[in-house]
Amino acid sequence: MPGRALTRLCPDLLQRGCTVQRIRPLSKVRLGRFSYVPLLLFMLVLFIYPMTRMLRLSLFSSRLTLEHYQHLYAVPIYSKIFLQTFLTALRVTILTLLIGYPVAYFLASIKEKSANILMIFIIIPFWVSILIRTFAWTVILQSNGVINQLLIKLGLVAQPLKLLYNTFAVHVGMIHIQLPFMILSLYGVMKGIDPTLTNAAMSLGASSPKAFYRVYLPLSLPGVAAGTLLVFIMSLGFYITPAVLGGTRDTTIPMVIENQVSTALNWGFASALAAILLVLTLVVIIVENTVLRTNEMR
Amino acid sequence: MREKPKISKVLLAMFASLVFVFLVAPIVIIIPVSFGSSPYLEFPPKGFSIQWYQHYLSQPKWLTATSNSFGIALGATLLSVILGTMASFGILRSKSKLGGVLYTFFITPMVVPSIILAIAFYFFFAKFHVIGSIWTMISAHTVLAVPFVITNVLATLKGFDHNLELASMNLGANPLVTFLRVTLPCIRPGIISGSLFAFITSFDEVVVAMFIGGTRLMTLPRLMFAGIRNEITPTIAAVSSMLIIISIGLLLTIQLLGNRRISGEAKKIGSKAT
Amino acid sequence: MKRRIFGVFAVLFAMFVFVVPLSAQNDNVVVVSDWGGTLADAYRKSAFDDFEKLTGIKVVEVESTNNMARIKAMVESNNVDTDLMEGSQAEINRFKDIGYLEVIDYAKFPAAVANGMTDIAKDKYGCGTFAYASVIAYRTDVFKKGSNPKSWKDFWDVKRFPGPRTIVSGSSGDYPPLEYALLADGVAAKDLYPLDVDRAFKALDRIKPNVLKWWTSGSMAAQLLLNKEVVLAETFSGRIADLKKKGVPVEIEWNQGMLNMDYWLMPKGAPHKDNAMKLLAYMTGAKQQAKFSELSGYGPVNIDAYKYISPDVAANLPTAPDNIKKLIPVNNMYWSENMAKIQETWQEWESK
Repeated sequence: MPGRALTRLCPDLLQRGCTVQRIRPLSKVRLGRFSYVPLLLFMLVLFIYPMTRMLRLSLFSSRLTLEHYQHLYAVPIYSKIFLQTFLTALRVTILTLLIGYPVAYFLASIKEKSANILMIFIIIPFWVSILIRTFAWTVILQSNGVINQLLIKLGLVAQPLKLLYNTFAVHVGMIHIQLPFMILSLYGVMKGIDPTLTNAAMSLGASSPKAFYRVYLPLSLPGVAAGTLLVFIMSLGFYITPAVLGGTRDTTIPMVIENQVSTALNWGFASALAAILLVLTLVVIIVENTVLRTNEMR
Repeated sequence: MREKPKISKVLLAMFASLVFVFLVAPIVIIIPVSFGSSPYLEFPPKGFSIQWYQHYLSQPKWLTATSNSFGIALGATLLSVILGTMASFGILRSKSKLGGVLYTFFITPMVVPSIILAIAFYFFFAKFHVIGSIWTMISAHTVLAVPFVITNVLATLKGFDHNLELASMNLGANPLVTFLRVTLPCIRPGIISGSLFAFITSFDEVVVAMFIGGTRLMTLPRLMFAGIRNEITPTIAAVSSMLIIISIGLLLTIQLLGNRRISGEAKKIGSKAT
Repeated sequence: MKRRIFGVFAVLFAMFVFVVPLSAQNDNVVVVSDWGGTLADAYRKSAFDDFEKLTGIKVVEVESTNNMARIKAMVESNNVDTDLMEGSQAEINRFKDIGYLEVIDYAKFPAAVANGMTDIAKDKYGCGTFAYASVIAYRTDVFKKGSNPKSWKDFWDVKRFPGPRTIVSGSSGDYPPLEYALLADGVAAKDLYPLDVDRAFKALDRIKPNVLKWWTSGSMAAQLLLNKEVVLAETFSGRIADLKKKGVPVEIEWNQGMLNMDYWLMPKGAPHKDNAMKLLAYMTGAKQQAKFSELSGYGPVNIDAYKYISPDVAANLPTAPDNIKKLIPVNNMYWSENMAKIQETWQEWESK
């Protein structure tokens, strides 16, 4: 009888005195189908409405015009910087995933008590403001910095390496900031993966790597999706870290937008840049969403 | 039952340790710097002085800004967790196409550069003359924080077996009890990481705060950025160090308290499973 | 247990939300947005504190990042909440023609103060804060005083003066470093404006490999010199004076430095206009200016201040007679007309 099977599944509920009552048709019940409405209203008022005003600016100079978009398209430097920004975000995301996945896996596989203690290493960096963290990296990476001094003392190099004010430093800084996000996103999902599943696969004859690849990895995919999307989008928005740690080839679109808003006061053009950034990013999100949904249906 | 080869576990642990070292390296720099005596950020620091801590604790503006930041972040976290978790359910449980659209829509604030958002918010709130109000700031930060909550909660929700809910309701529990006693505990990791991200996003946020905080609502990041064009003093390092110490303390406390409860639950469920 | 923790947070939050807004709001204030750091300290000690004691008007300081954007946002949304904002001639030129700034009536200043102020300082739309110079700065443990680079030509000469440099970045908000490039290339000071932009960028090409970092804030340049990551810098004289005070072995070369002035701007519709005028009149007094210059290393806008400045402090100020004759005044009008285009060229140039 369904009732007894269910009580075995949920002994807690039985203890609390729930008894089997009339069985409702299962398919009709979908908890929370419209619970997005409050957020939707909130966002319409507090986000969409203010943003439309800003984006409208991109179509105005002294009159309704497309000149900002034309300018964006005509002057090659902006397309170049868009490309730079997206490529950097992509590289940072992939590297953060490669580094963060094993760490999250490790944390999910050890005792929860120990994991919670080690979690401190992940959460502490959050508390350090981006400014300070970026400064700390200049101290570590500069030519008189900690790393170079160590390398020279150990005799591994004769001259200090140029580790700062270049693309390498920007990546290090960005990965450092993004890793906690990636690890926590992955961990949240990995914690929910039943360890007996991989064990079952192995006891059925699968080798350890195969069990991982066929069982664990697919189950962790929602976490991977969440983490990579989060990190990618955040990486597109960096402007302090590249400005402080980077060289002349590390300009990002947010840096340009910041400049246009704060110094050039060309808000129309800044909005156009932001609009294009928005559209391009939405395309990426939609693509990822579609890929994932097809994955889920399999 | 085959046991995993030990070597891979050891390598994994070693790799994880390296990453942990990488993550805390900047902190190892900051704490000594905050005790340095020279009025510039210098490493290794020369001399020993607690003047930066004294500076921080003695100035009401720093303390007010800190408490403002905490309050705003708490408010924004609460609001974004509630709205975001509800929305996550809506996204997952609605028709698939609508869900995708909603999801993309709700995480859009992450994609907009904060300076653009700052000005957009400014013009909007200025119309109602609420620049400088705490609720303005909390609302704006909620918009920024919600995407983080949704991405995390949705991820854990996807892995959650919907049948458990159905089972619970079939046993007679109403939707609310089901949600609280069945669903919530299962998606808790997602909610916790989501709220952490939300909190940090608000606590560390500077550009929007600069514009809609007006002249009276100072937040910690605003103060820290204040001298950036002219000088970075070790006071910022002292502030960061204090936050680190406090958060370590808080985390340890929560872990110690939480661990007792979790291990208790684990024991109960464990004994039932056999 | 969890419920208790939640409860504690809820109570704290409620307390905070209802208590904070209820704290008393004093309206006899003047709201000032200045550039923070040592400058803010200098203002406090030389003027703000005494002003508060004398008049009972509180000086509320707000940080200044995004000043220009904030003026625009405030005035356009009719929501001006700041009275005085520290800015430059560039900002004045930007805003005065579209009516975003209040006119400053120097007739309301005490006659002695108004007479002591230099003409440049008494701009119709901005009251001068201080005079500053962008100069060559060098580490004295690398280049002894006397055998240091003495011109921009020297600065560009990496054979005679080897080592990494730092120069202002054209995307930092300050003017791109074209004048220095032209001077290094042999252009005479009087022939600088209008700038030969192509020639300037060609000259910048030559120095580019030796510039470790193009700085985007004054503190960055100072930090680079302090850490000896660079041996030569183009930066503000006040930053170097500050480093010297703190014992760092650096020195200023005044020759061919570019002279400019900063201003207090009053956004149109400033809420405490009268208080602001009182503060301005007080700050520009000779004694206050003397103290400010001493603390900040920048030049006073009131030449009577020199009566109260000791000679060794004066020697380090850009407006001291020995120094000012070596400096070249920046042509702000030129930049107002050409900044946008040149910034774009800079962006293209730097990413090559």
